[in-house]
Amino acid sequence: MQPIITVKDLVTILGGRIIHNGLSFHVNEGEIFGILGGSGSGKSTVLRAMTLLGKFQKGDIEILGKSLKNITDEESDRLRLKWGVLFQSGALFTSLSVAENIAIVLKEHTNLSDDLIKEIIKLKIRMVGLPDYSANLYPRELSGGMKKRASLARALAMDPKILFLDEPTSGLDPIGARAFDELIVNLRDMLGLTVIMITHDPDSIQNVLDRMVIIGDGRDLIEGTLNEAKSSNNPSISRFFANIDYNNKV
Amino acid sequence: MQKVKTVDAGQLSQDVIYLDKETKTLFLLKEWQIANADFLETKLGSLDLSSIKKIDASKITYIDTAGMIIARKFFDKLGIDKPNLENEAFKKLREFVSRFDTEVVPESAPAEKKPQNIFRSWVEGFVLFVSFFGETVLNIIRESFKPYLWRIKEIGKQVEQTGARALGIVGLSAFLVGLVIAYQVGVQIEKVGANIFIVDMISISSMRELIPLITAIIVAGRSGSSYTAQIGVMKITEELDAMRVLGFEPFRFIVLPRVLGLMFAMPLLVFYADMIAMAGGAFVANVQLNISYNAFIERFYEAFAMKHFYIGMVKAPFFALIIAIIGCYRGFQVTGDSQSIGIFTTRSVVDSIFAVIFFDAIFSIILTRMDI
Repeated sequence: MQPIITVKDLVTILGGRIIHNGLSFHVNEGEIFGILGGSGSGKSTVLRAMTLLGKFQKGDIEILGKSLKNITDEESDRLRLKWGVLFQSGALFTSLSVAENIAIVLKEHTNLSDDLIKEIIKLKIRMVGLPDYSANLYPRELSGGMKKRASLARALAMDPKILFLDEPTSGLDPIGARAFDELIVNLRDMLGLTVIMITHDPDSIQNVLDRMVIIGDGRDLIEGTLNEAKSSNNPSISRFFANIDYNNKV
Repeated sequence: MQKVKTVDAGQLSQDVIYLDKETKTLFLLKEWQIANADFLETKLGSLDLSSIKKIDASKITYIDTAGMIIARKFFDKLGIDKPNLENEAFKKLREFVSRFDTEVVPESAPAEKKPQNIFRSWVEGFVLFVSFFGETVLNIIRESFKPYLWRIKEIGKQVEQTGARALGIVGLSAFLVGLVIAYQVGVQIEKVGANIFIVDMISISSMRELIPLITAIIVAGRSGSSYTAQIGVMKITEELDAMRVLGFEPFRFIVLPRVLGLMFAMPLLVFYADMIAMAGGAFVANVQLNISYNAFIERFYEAFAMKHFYIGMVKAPFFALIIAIIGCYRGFQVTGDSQSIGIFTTRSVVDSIFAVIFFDAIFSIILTRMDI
C-alpha cells in the first residue's frame, strides 16, 4: 500500500488564528481514513485545504503525487475531477433535479453521448440505493438521508479515485446511518475508492474506519488504527475517547 | 461542436481494443474510464460485429463504472452477457454493476404530480394575498390598542433602514424630478411669457403626484425587495419555523415592524423629497427663467393650496402599506430552492410598483370626483 495523500507539517492561519501548527498524516490507497477531533480543532479546515477550497500557509499536501502548494489552475482543475466531495448538508443544486445534479457534472466535463450519460445517471442513482423515481425529484422534496445519497451519487459521477466525506452520517437516524456506512464500505470494496471522512459517529469510528488521525492543539495527536489510538497514553486522546463513549451510551 | 474537456484523456492510450483477425478475438486493452469514454464509444461503434467471435478482457488494466457501462452495452449488442476471458478486477466490477440492472424497490410510491390549472392557481394566489392583507390590517388595528406590545426598537431599526438610509437616493431623484419638470415646463411657459406660473406647475405636480409616486417606486425597489429576500432566506434556513416553535409569532415579529416602520418612514421621505424637488425647481427657474429665489417663494405662498401637499402626504402611508405587505407576502411564498428567492423578489418589486401606480390612479379618480 502506498500513500495517496500526504499532509506534511501543515500550518494554517485563518483570520489571525492559528488552526494547524505542524499537522502531518498520510492516507493509504484503498483505505477508509477518519479525521477526528473535537469541534474547532480544524477538521473541516484541513478537508477544505485538501479539496483545494482553502489555502494553507506552510507545509505541503500531496495528493495523487501532486503537490497542492503552488499548483497551477490548470492542474487543479484536472485534479479536482479525480475526487468527489460529499458536503455535510449535501449541497445539491436546489434548482436542479437529482438527475440534473449528476448530469451537469458529466455534461460539463466530458463529451459523452446523452444516452450514455443517462445510463451513468441511472447506475449511480441505483448504486447509492435510491429508487429510480428520485431522479426527477428536487432536493427540497428529498428526506435528509436521500439528500445525502443523492449528493453521494453526484460525488461519484466522474468515477473519482478519492472520496471526501464531511460528517456523512450526521443528521441521519441510527438505521439510516448504519446503512450509509455500509454503502460507503461497499463502494470502497467494489470501486477501489480511497475514502477520507470527518466523523463523530462512534459506530462509524468503530466499524468503518481503517485508520484515523486525531487532531488536537493544531497537530496530529495520533495516527493509526482505533486500537493504537485507544492504547495511547496522551491525556487529550483519552479524554476524546471518553467523550465519545459517553455519547454512545446516550 | 467540440466541447472543451477538462478530463485528462491526453495521457491515456488510444489502443483500447485490438481485433485479432485470425481467431476473430477482440482484446480489450489498457484503461477504460470516463476520461476516454467518448473515444471508446466511437471506437466500438465502428467495429463490424460479424467479425467478432470471442472477447478477451483479461488484459485490461483499469476500468471504472463508465467504462463498464460501455463494455456491457457492447456485449448486449453482440448478444452475450460476458466476455469469454476476463481478469479478476473486470469480473468484480462487472458483477457489481450488473447488480443494479433491476430497480431498487422503493419504500413508497411517489405522489403523482397534477398538472396545474393556471387560472385556478392565479385565483388561489389572489385569495391568499387578500387573506394575508386582511391579517396584516387586522393585526395593526389590534396592536394599536396595545401599544405596550409594539416592538419599538425593531420598528426604529426599520425606519432607519428604509427611511434614513434612503435619503441619499430619494433626495437625488427628487432633485432631478424637480429639475426636469422645471426645464420642460419652462421652455413652453417662456413662449407665452407666463414665467412665474412655473412655481404653480412645479409645486402642484410634484407634491401631489410625482414625488409620492417616485419615492414609492424607489422604496419598492429598495426595501420591498429586501423584505422578500430576507424573509425568503429565513424561510429556507427554517428560521421562521424556529421562531414559531420558540413562541415568536413571525407575523408580529417580522411583518408588523416592517409594515409599521415603512408606514412611518414613508411620509417623512415624501416630505423631504417634496422640499428637495422644490429646490431643484427653484434652481432651474432661477437659471433659465431668471426668477429670483425670493420671487419663487413669494409666488409659492400665493399660489399653492395646502391640499395638494396633504394629498401627497396621505398617499405616502398607503403606498408604504402596499409595498411592505407585498414584500413580506412574497417572502413567505419562497419555497425550498435558491432560485425561488430570485423569482419572488422580482415579483415583489414588479407587483408593488404596479400596485402603487394602480392605487395612485384610484386616488386620482376619487379625489377628482370629490372636487378636491
